Amino acid sequence: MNSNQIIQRAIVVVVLSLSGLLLKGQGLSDTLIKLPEVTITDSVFNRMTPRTVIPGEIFQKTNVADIGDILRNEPNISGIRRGGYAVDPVVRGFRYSQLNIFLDEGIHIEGGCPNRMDPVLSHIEPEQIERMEIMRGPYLLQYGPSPSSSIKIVTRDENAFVVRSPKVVSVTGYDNNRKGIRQHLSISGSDGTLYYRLGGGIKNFGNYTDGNGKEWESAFNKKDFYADLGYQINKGEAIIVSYKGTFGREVMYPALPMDEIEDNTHIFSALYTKHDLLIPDNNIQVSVYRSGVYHEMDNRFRPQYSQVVPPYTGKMQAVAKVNTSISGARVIINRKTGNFLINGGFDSELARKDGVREMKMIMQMNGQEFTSIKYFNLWKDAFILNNGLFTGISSGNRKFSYAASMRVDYNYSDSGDTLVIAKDDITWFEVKPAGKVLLSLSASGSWDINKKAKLSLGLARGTRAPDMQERYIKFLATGYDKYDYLGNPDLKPEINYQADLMFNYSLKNSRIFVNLFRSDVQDFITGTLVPPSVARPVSMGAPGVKQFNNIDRAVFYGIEAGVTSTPVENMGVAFSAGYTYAFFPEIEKIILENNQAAGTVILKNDPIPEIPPFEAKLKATYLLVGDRLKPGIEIRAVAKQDAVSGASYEENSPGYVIANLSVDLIPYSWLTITSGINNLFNKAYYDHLNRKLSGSSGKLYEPGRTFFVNLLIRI
Amino acid sequence: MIRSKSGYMFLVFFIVLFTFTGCRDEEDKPVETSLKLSFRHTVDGADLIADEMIYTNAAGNEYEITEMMYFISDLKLYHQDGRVISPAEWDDIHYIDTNMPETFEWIVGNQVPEGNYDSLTFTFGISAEKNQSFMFVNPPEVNMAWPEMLGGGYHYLMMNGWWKDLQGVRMPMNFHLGIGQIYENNTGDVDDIIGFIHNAFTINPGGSLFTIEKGKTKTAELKMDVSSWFDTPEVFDFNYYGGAIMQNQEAMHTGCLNGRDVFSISWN
Repeated sequence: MNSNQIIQRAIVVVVLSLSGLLLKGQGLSDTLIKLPEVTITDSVFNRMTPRTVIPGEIFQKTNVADIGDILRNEPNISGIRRGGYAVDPVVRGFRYSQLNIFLDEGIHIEGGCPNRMDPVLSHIEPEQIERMEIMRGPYLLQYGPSPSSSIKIVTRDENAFVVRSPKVVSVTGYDNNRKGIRQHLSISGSDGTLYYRLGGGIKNFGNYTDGNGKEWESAFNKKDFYADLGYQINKGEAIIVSYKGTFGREVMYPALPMDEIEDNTHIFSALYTKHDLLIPDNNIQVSVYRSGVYHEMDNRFRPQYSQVVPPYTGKMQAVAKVNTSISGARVIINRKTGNFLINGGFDSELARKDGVREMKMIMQMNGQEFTSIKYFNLWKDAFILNNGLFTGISSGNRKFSYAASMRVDYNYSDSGDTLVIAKDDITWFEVKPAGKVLLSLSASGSWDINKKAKLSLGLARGTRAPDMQERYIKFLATGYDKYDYLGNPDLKPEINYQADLMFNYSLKNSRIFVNLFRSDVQDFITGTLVPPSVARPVSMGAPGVKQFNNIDRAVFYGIEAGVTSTPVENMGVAFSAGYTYAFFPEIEKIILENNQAAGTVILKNDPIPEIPPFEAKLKATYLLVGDRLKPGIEIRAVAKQDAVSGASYEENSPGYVIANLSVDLIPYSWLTITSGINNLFNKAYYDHLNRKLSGSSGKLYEPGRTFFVNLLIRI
Repeated sequence: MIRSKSGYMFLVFFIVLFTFTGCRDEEDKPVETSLKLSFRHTVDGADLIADEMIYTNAAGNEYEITEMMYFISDLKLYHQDGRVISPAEWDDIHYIDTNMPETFEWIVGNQVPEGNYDSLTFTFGISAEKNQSFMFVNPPEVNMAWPEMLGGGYHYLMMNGWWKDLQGVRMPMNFHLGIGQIYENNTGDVDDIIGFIHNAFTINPGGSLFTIEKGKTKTAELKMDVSSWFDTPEVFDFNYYGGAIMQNQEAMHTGCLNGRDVFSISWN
């Protein structure tokens, strides 16, 4: 029996075991249902759009210091790992700027690294999070164009002005695999008029070891500091100003050609709110913000920086420095009229990016040392200005509820690049100012079939303009395939036509959800090969250059499903699964022989690269000692991925099954101790989306067995 | 169990919306008209034997070749109707390395216009406009880098081996061609450099007329006679120029003059 068969059987066993538990649970007599905590974390699909809510406590109790890594616990959410930190989320196969990731009232962050060492979530520390909401689909339109999914990170206390004495929260964690420690402290309070919150923390994590005993250069150091200050002008008006700073140092990325040396993030924001005391649904929000990132990376920790590494015959040194910022303002007005809730508003955002790379080659020839240096612009005074108008309406009765929203954006971009790439009367790269109108629409409705069953349908058109990288990046390996990528200022917007069908069913002690979706994406933006005669790679290890281009059509469809149940008293069980299949109905494949183009072929229904495989998770917990002790076990099964892109020469990846154990101990109301073992059987495995180790064809493995302990103190 | 019309409507909608699409399929494009060149290295008509001191050049120097790396670029085909075709739409610079037999074949192009051709030419090395530093960042091509302070870009040719001097001492041979330097005081010191000379040159390997037929692959063998680098029109004497010549424009110029006839072509 090969490993694939073992995995498939394991999945079947897991599913059958779950079925048994559920059947048992359904047979219980009518008693008070005590849903375990895992029901909250698993998924809350209790509205008419496919939304998941993750409470902040989850981020405090986990041993994982990286938000992107934590998100991989959700069905149909995967992540791209490039190192020990900053896993880049992939929701239903969509990634990067296909996801609208923002803080609070719509604060966006533009990562500095073209290799995506610092995706948006890496600029926020998990301990700062009050709540996270994941909207699968282009339904949330008031926080900017939302092409495929939205991730909203709530960091502000939404009940800031409730009178309370100072509250102190301390999170302390230890991870034995990485010899990692983290300490976070915050204090907050309010006298009803003034509100304050101060916090900060450090994380110092070493390299991790995988299940084969191999140590990966994946260490990282992070610090963060934040402060909120609020003033309630009167009972209906308040203003809060905030600062958040995160600082990364020497963050290692074994799957990238460089490491992060320094990354500084500063976010300043202010929010004014006013609501009607009699009708709280009548309110207005005005917010402004500025987020800025300085990112510096180089290869000083790589052997070729200081020595000649065959087959190179010289030392190769590279350093890149990038500055980015986004400044934005937003006004949102909500109003209740009869049975209708109406909202509307406008926003404006200006994103800027500028960066340079320095390449140095040191050679020994005829007994002399020669140094060659060259500077390349990664971005040159590039900017995107997006102005949007949005409106929405929702209503409902006991049987039906529905909502609709619309958003129109004018997106304008330009860059100071002077590079022109042209060959044989074809211009491949030339910057010109570009303005685009983006129209996004969404509608959703739900039908309460009876007290137990609910059916919801969502239809949407989500539009996104090409991002800074897709328009203007110049020769950096930003994708999964090590190719250097070249921007394309002539890209058209990507339009996602999506449908979601959701079914929820509640039993006395169980709840079932099934979400089905299909996305038909027009002008899908992806990389296509550029002949070396047009452009050659600049990054070490890049086999060639790909340029972002629009592909006529891409199709995604899939499912998320899950069950939460209390089969016996004090026991909680949650099962969830997710799968996405995505393909290009038609795409050209360049047949390569010895890296030379030997011909082309048209592929029909070719899978899109980098789509995560089927994944299922089962978690069971049991409450003991009057709810003070809660042991839990979690099994995660991931199928092999053989629906891989032929046009991109993507490789299959094997499936795996891992188990995690954890115990929550609450000796006092103010103290929660969580300890456990992740990857209990020390399985050596990697996710399909994990990047390949720099300079090799082998994938970056996930951490092996990890013992952890966390102390959460709330006074 | 579905008990209402609405329920059935949703079921139908679901089936229509989420109908799975068929498996991957390939559709061949029309057969392409292509040109392939293969490379062979000889000495006096016989295949090059590396790492043996068995050859003697026109100056009487005994020598052996350990390895040879070079670029050719800007291939042009001269159609009988007067057009000059640049068929290399994928990569117009090809690297050949005697350590890497896979580089001995160049798939020049797949959409070459059909018809009768008089001849072809190519550049040995890389032309001045294209020979830019950091154009290649990966082995093996990156190892052809020519130091920035000596003119930058990349070697045209690296021919490494050994030669014997007048005393019979085995000396290293680094017959390297690239951008030459002009030294103000002929010191050979980089601080003395006042200008550069691009030495890349065009080769017409001769050969007969040839025809490229639609939908077929035309192949040809380009044969380099290594000994020809050391004679015709100039005799190259290692005792005069030394073994390492990349900072000796006179020696490189002689090598480039001799290089114009090192290739011959035969069509299949």
